Amino acid sequence: MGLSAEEVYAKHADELLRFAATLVGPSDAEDLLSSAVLRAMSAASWTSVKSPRAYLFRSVLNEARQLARSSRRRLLREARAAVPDAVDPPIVRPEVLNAVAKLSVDQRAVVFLTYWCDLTVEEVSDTLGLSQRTTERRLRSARTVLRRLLL
Amino acid sequence: MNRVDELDGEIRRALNELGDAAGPAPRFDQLEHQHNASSSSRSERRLLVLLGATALVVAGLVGLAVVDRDSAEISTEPRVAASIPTTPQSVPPTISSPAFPPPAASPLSEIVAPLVPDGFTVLYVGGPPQTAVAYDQSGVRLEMTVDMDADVDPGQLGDEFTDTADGKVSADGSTLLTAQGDLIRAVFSIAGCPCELAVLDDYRPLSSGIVTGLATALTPANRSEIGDFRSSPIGTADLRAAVSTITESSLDATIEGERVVGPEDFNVSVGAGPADSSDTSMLTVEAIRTGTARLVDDITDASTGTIVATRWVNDWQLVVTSLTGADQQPSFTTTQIEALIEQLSPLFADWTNTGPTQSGCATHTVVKGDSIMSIAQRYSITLDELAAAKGSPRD
Repeated sequence: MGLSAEEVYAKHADELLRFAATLVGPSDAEDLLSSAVLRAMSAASWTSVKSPRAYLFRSVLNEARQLARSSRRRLLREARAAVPDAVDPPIVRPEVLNAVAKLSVDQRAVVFLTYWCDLTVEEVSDTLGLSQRTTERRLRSARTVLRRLLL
Repeated sequence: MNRVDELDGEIRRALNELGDAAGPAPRFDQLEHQHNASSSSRSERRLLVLLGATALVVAGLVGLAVVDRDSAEISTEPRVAASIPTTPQSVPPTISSPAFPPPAASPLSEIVAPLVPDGFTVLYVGGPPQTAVAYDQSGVRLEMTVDMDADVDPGQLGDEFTDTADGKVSADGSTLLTAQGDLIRAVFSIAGCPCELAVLDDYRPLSSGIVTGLATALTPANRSEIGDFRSSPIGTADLRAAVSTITESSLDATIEGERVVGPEDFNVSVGAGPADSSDTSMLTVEAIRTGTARLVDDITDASTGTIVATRWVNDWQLVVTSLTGADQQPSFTTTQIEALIEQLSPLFADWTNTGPTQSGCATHTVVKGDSIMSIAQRYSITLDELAAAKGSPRD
C-alpha cells in the first residue's frame, strides 16, 4: 500500500462520510466514520490490505451493522425518553428519511454504491464482498421499496 | 422521462440530501477526538436518564411495596389495568425464600459482594462479559457488567483519579485502567420489565459507589484472572431450546438469539419486522425464576403500542414483550401473544432443575504458576472432578 493512512483517509473521507450518512443518517455519520476508520487502521491486517478503499467501505458497513444490532432496543427506549438533540437536520426531506428508514443497512449500502459511486453490480459485489446474485437481489428489493415511497 | 429514469433520479437526489446534511468529513487528526466525544456524549445522555430515573427508582421501590416484606406475601392487586384475561395459572404463589444455589465462586464474586446495596442478593455471577446479577425482595434487579474487551474512553473519571504511566490511579492507590479501557456498567431494572430504571456507566462515582467500587477493585493482580473466568453452564439449555422452537412456530417468526441472564433466567428474542427492512419491532420472551418478584398479569400500553404479557408458572415469571418498530405498529396481536404464552406455560409447569449440563467442556493449557487448586477454582470444579477430567488419580 503506497499511501500513508492519513493520505488514504483524506482521499476517501468525503465519500465514506456520505456512505455513513446513507447507512445511519446524517446525525450519526461522523461518529460512525470515526469509529470505523480508527478500527480499520488500527487492525493488524491494515498494512497488508490491497484495496484500502474497499476495506474502509466494508469497515463502515460493519460498524453500521453493529450499531443497528446493538442499539435496537436502546434506541426505542431513548427515542421515547431522550431530549430532542439527536434529530436529523431539516435539510433532508421527511419522505427521504422515511424511504431510507425502510431499507435495511445492507440494502442502503448497495444503493449508495450503485447510484452515488456509479459502480456496476460486479464492482459493488467486489467492494462489499458479496456474490453478484446477492447484490442484484438487494438492489432489486431496495428499488421496489423506494419506488413506492419516492415516486 | 420514463419511470425508471425518474426513480434513479429521485434516488440520487435522496442520497445527495443525506450526504450534504452530514457536513464535511472530520480531518484525520480529529478522528480520535470525534470517537472519544461520541463515547462521552452517550454517557452524558445516560446521566440525564439517570437523573430522572433516580426518582423512578425511589418511586418504583415504593410502588413495588405491594410486596409485604414482613408477611412475605404478594398483593394480588394489579398496578396497571389488565387487558388480557387472567387465568387460574396466574394466581400468585406465596413467597418463599429464594431456593437458588449460591453463585459459582469466581474472582468477580468476591469483588461484587461488598458492593451490592443492602437488601440485594447476588444470584448469578458469570460471563463473558463478566456479569453479576442481584435481586432485592421487591423485584428490583441490579446487573453489573465489566466488559474487559470494550473500547471505552478512560477520560471519564472524576478528579479523584489521576493519570500515571501505568494507567488511571485512584486516591487509594489502586491502578484502574490501562489505555485500552474497560466498560463498567450497573443497570437497575425491574425483573421482567423492558425498561431500565438507571444505567450507570464509565466509572462515575454514583449509586453508593457501585461503579467506582468495581473500577477500583480491578487491579492488575486480579484483572487477568477475572477476564479468564467462565461461568459454569446453566441447566436450562433444553428449556431454552423448547421455548425457541415453540416461539418460532407459534409466531411464524425467526429467532434472533437467546441469552442466559441468571441462574435460571434467560430470554429469547424474535425479530418481528419484515426480513428486508430496518423495522425495529421485536418480541422477547423472558423467563425469570427469582422466586421473589411478581409482576401484574399483563400490561398493555396503548400510547406506545407496547404489549407486555406475563404469566406465573411453577415459580417462573414468563414475560412476553412486544415492542413496536419504526412503523409504530404492533407486529403481533394480543391474541397471538396470549396463544404463545399458553403454549409455553406447560414447559415451565413440568420443568425441574437438573443442574449444570455436562456439555460445557473446556481445555486448559497448564502454564507456569498454575496449581491444581487454582485450576479447579477457575472452572468451579472439585479436585476429584479435575482429576477425573484429566484421567489420572488425584495424587
